[in-house]
Amino acid sequence: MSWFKLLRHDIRAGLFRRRYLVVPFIFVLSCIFCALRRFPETAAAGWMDLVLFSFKGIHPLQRPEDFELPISWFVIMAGSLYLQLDYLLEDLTEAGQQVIVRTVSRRSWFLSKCVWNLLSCCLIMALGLITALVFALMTGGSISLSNTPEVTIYSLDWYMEAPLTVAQTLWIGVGLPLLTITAFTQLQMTLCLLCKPILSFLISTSLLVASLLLSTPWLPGNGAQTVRSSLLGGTLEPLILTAVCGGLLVTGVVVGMIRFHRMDLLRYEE
Amino acid sequence: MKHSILRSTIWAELCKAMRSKALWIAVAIGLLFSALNIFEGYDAFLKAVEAVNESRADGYAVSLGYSLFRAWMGNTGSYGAAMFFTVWPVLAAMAFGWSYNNERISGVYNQIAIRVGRKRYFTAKHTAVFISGGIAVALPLLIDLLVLAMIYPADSSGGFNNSHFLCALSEASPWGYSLAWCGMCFLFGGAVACVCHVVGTYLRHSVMVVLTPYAILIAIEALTTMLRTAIAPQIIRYTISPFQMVINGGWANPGWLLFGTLIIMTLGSYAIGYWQVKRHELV
Repeated sequence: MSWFKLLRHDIRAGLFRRRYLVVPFIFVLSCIFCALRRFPETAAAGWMDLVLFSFKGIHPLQRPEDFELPISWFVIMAGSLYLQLDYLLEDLTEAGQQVIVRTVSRRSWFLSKCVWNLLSCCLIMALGLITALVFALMTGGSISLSNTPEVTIYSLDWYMEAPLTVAQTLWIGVGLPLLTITAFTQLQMTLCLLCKPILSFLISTSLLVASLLLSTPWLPGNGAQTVRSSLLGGTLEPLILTAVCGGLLVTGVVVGMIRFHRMDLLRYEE
Repeated sequence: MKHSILRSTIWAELCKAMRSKALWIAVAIGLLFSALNIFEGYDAFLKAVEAVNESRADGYAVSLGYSLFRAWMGNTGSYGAAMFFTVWPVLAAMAFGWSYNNERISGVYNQIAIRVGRKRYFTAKHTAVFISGGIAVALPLLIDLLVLAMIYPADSSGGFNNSHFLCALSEASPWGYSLAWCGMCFLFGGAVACVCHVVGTYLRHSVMVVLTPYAILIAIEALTTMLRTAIAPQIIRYTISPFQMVINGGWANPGWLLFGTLIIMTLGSYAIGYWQVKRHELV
């Protein structure tokens, strides 16, 4: 069986699911939070301002007592983990074992799941971008691919004279959060093969919370927090964050593939 | 006779819950956060003790400035506490919240329901889920308090800065207050775990059932935060988000609000689950 047939099955069964309809609501919530922060007589948030705000996270903490869960950021990140938690197990306990017997290769089956994971993260991000675009159009914000310094003051609590370049904005507002979400969902998928799914969700969520608490590039959740980036007043270099998230993603794929190749699949029938 | 059947069914379900590995894994995870809370302040505490001893040797009367009730996970803003209070609904639900769904899908339900009746079975399951969820949340808090009591002085000055319904007790008896707050966390843990019954057997995988209360609580938290931001964050002193209610000291919630939320969650999930059992054949 061709690998592309496996991928086609995963796209059909795993990507076109009604649950993804919740994603625009999640991003609308974040856009509303951004609009509520707007000062009187300032410009409405533009498209990229809304995207940067959605992945704002929190500024580095001085003391742990100052911690307040950034709910819109957490809903996006933990929501992505929740939406993608059960597909691997669902497919494995339904048609998966038959498919593995026919394809002979377990590695190609798992690789197909990894590509599905990447595509579903892209879908979440695309839905988020479309939602932010529609929201910006409806509220009179600019449809520019870079941020507006006037808006950045109230949305990200950061004063800047010149806006970021388009490449910088897309990197820290879209590329890096997408990579971080993909790395986390891949980590969760791999952990599902090593322990109970609920534990894999807990570990991933705890890592997210730890990333909020500590501003260090070694905690990959910092990659999805735009205010931690040195381009927006933080201390972390986006390049290092990209490398850490990329490393986590590749490690997740490799470890998952090795584990899946060796594991006993029959116990999943229970 | 009927009551004795119900009692024995509840007892059997409770035994199942207590022997469940998931309950003790949930408690162990809670204890990990508790250990983080204990160790992260320990070094600073030892240094403070050393400094105070030196000052006292020089003849100065110096207060240590550390208190058991300030260091306790239920009343502090440590990293361990932050992580515990972000994932507590998952811990509560993973203890035994999955069992109803699993037993319905695997067919064990039929074996029990045919002997004791569907409604009694559901009532017993609901009780066991409530108690196990409560244990998963309250036990790490209680153990944290007891372990810290071996290290820190039980000095109540400045320990509590909250203004909710147990405020008076916190001043009169800090120990009583701390234990009462463990009790409140037990009730919230139990109530949240029972929310698993709202989805019945609609979801096939127990992991999704277990995460249902978390998803609902986070959604409520997001909506209430949005409303609060939209109205006026400075003037609102209460929260209607159960996710925030267990975080001690953050809100001036009155007793009626906390107990009202508990009753709505527990009885609401019981009513929905009972209605499904009575009206629909979910098997």
